[in-house]
Amino acid sequence: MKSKHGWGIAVVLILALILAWLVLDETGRPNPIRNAVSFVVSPMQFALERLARPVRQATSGIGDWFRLRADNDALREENERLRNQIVLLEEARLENETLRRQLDFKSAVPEMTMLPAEVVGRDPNTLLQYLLIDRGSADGIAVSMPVLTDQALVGRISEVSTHSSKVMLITDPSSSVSCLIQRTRATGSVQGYPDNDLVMRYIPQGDTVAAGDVVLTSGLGGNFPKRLLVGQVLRVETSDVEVFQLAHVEPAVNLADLEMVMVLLEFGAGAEEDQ
Amino acid sequence: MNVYAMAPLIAFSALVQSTVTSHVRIWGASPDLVLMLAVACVLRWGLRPSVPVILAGGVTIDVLTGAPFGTATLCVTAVCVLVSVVDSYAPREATFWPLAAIASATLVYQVFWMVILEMSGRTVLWGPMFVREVLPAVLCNVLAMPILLLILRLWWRRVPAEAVI
Repeated sequence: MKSKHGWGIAVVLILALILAWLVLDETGRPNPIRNAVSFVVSPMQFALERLARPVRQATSGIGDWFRLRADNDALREENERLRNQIVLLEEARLENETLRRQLDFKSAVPEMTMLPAEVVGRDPNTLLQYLLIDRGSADGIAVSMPVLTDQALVGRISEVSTHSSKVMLITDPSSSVSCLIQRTRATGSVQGYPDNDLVMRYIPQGDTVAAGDVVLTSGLGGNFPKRLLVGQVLRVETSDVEVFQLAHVEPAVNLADLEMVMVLLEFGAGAEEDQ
Repeated sequence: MNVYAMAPLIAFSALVQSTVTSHVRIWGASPDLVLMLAVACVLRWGLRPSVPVILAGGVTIDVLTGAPFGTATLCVTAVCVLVSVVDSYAPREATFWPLAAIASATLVYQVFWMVILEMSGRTVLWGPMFVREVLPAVLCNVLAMPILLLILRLWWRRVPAEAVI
């Protein structure tokens, strides 16, 4: 019974306290009840806050760890993507440069119809010097068409499929190109020599040839156009008992590292003049 | 894994040989993956079970090379027959035998190629080609064979040879 009264009194007191709090708040003066409550609660709040801080830091640390890990994964992914993009852009830049050079070359010789092609493979046997390119008869390519870069002669088409072709490089021992020495107009035949080298044979003994001379196609035979760069004479072998001189020639382009070439679909003037 | 799983692998190796390892040059030569795999198969399983592998490798090389079609198949088959014959008399437990096998196989293989090229009307400069192409190829394959054998042995360890033949 006593307890029932006690509860009643407590409820009445609380209600009275709330009412007083509201009335005092409305007067606009400092609320002594609020002050009293704050006086008691604030130190407790402060202490509890201090106690809770490490817990909060720990829990926020766990949250941060998960967030950081997700951020790290995302950044790593982005880094990989950007690195791939850089590689692709660098490749595109190099390809662009090559194509630009080819375009310049193409504009410089309008009488020639050229088709750019990409090198997709090489002969698996080192005894043979062949390239596989990604253009075939569907693109208008036919056997014996000359293949070059913007710098020099590379070889000629030896086999054609619908969408690919094989190119016999000038360094293949079976390749033979009629050439001349630019300085002296001495003629001969440039043939492939093992290990990516060239030799110029059948140079008459009376003709002058020296190391450093530039070798160009002569256009004789009509297989290749005139005045295409082939290489440079490295050294000359002469002998009194031989009818001809022999010159070792360094190819003008590094045929082992070719990535893009041009197939000469048509060449009018040069070769026909010589025939 | 069985010997027939080697057939697509050797065909793929021919493509790798044409595109990737052709840039790896040791004294002017590149490792001949197809020949090395074919010889490794013959040494492991003998000639008869290795025939599909040899043919797959040979035909793929023939598709990619500028030589007359069939040259590679003929050469690799002939060399594997020789290796198999010699292997029956050779000290198989000797560690140098695979290296001796690949050295002699490369030499014979390249000479067979040159003979066929000559017969088909191509220009073959025997002396310079032998010194500048064939001998470096022998050396290159001898250097590459232990690496290839190490990889293959790790792979083949799972299945004993007797389970396949």
